[in-house]
Amino acid sequence: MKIRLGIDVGSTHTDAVAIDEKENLITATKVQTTPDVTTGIENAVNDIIAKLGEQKSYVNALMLGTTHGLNALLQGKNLARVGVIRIGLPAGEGIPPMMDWPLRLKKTLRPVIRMVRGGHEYTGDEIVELDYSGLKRVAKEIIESGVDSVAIVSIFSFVNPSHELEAAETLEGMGYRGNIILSHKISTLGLIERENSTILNAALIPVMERVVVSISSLLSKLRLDYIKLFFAQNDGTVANAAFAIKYPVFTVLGPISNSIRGAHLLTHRENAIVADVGGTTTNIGVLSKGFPRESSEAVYLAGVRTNFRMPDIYSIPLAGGTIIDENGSISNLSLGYELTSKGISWGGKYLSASDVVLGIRGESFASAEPRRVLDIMPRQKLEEIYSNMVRMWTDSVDRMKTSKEDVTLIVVGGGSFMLPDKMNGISEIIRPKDAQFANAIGAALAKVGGSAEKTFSYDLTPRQKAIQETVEEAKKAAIEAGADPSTIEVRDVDEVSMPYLPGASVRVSVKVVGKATLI
Amino acid sequence: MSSVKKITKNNVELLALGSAVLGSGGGGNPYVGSLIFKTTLLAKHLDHVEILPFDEVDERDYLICSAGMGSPVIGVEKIPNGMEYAYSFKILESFLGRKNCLISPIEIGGINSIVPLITSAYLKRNVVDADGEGRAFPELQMTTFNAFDIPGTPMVVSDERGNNSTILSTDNRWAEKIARAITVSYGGRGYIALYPMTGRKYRMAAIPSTLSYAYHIGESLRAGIIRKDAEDAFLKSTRGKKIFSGKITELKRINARGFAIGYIIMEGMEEYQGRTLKVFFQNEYLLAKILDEENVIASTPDIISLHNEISYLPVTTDQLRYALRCHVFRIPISEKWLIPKAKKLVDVDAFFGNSDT
Repeated sequence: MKIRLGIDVGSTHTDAVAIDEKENLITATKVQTTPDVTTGIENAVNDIIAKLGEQKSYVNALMLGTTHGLNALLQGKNLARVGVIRIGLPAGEGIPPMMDWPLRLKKTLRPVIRMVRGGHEYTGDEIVELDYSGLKRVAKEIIESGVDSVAIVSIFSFVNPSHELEAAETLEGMGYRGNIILSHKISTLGLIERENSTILNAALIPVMERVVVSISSLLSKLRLDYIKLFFAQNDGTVANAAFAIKYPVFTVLGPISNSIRGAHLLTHRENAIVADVGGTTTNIGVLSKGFPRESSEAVYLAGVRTNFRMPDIYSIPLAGGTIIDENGSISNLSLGYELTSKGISWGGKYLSASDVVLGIRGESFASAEPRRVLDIMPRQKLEEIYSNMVRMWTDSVDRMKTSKEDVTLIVVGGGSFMLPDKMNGISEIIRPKDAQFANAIGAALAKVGGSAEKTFSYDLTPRQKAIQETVEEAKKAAIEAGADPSTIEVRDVDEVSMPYLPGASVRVSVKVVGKATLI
Repeated sequence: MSSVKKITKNNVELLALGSAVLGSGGGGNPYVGSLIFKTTLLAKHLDHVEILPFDEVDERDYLICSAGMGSPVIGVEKIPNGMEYAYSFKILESFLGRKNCLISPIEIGGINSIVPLITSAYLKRNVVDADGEGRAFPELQMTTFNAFDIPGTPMVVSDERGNNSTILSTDNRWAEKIARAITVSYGGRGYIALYPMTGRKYRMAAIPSTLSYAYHIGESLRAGIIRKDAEDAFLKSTRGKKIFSGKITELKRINARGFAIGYIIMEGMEEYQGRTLKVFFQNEYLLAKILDEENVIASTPDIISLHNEISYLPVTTDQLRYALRCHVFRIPISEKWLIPKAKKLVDVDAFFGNSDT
């Protein structure tokens, strides 16, 4: 027998599951998320290993979806000192790197910023020749400044990456041994957004290094150091520790994608809307061909405008712990993990969204006494509040649809019991068994993924060749992320024509997945 | 409406917001423009640029329009160095043998309402509070200047490397055609100086006080959003009319001839419940009609502005998607567009009529 552990860090709880190779849930646990995140993960690992008893020796992989990256950015802690080389002069100087970053975050990174001549047009031709002597001078200054990581960004590098590659070679050739991140590996169109994403990635490397060190040392304390560690990525796949350290921005929203993947794994549906109802928010995402649909808009992360691939999520502050005020209005506040001490059904003073549902249904749940709710509020008033809650959920689900047709809704998370059995615009509501552990299950069963995005002009590169090139790049990424090359399959090829770009320009995105290499 | 005298790094966002409204759903991303403007102020140790009221333009003054053209998508990747606009301006001045020309916006929607401010920070010349469109249109001949027979050329197009072309054309449609081709060969973005003219002609053909107008719309809308009476504030500042509220239930968009062309269908909500609106766009919103009645309730050159149901921020044509709930407003355009010769340049036929060319 082989067992995989899946761990998911939520805003209130950190969940862990153990799953066997036939996808059976062996055991699960829920502990409180701690402010430092790591302690909560350690508690969850200790707990699930204890529950497994003798079976723990069968565990061969640990898949972790964590919010460490996001927290580090919000708190400005443990971030790297970053060097930035932008290649594109004489273009681009109108907006220098990090021009509109939040000042505090910028100061934390103590960046060393340089620009040199070079870069490309949308056609792949050079704007001007790469300025080698300028590049060498800049590389020397950056090396001497002692930065931890360097972000290299060249104009239209997602069409032609050669200047970024040459800059990396120059740095290495001059003896630089720190991390080098190339922007064409991170995202595509939008110089400022891609550059910001690349800089954030460079800054987050030490954060992920620390996570890997602390989990690894815990595993060796438990005499389980042979367990392979993987991290949940934003696209619903996982990557090994080495890859996650190098590309931490791809894991910042891992836990959110876990719930969508979990919904797929628990129901075997390929396409649906997924509502993850937690303690403080309901996150609504879209399951498309078995993976989370990606957002196409610029997303602000810790106040920085970015454009790397993230799940398309609509969040509303309505979930299990949401506080209902005296007038019966749904507030933006939540009891969070204090629900089970402060909610009325549990003997507390606050009326929460969970209390409303329990009161109406008269169900006992997690040691709750729902009749206490009816003591303070008439049933009719509760029904009125509940119909407002249902309207909010219905509305939010509708916002994520792409057409008028009814869709399947999969409901997961600790608060999933709260949704009704029928909703407008929904053909079917599925509440899978073990829905409250969907996120951790999604992590545990995830495949190793690799993605690539490139822009081509089909007038210059034949379509077949363009797709082939992108597939090869995605495969390379998957192997680097720990996929067994013989198991890699193409999951999705997406072609988006680029409005306004002349010459039949198309952005080709490819996603491949494979089984984790566990030897 | 009071006139705006200075644009600073702090209030440029208000101008950008108002410009997004007057962009009628298009006009390019003002975000990039505002950032270049702020960078330029810093680099030139300036805290503002001066706006010259339209009434203070003298008949003996000479004016040149300063703008950017080409693909907005390329504009977010190949960002200019900021000097290109002033560079084209100076080359055109020396071609004309003139000095100290005043700077005018060509249009007041999207990024091109910010561009003259960047040129001003480089050249230390005032920007005139007026323009040739009172909104944004996609082509160079779609100006009131053209309607008053003012030639757009000689004009200069340059790129970030310093390549530049001076165009002399037989009419303004040719100017557009030639400049468009040069822009593509420069890598998709061109930085232009055009419509050189005397103060006398300018006073006749320009639409007055449009920078102030855009600023005023941005300021009112922002304040209204904070006070939670965005709609009233917006209607007051634009003298516009609300024509619909609804949810997008269908979106068709194709890319053709370098434009994003398509339509949306909206199902009415609130007092518009039970009615259906169709809005056509070609980069900009062009036409809105109530289905069933086949009743056109707004069409170019009027501005059609869509606003997010909750935030009240303008929704551009590239942000449209299913289920987005929007309010739709019709904003009247300067009466200069209403004379038949002007209207012909930008009416529905000017867009849909020549769709085969």
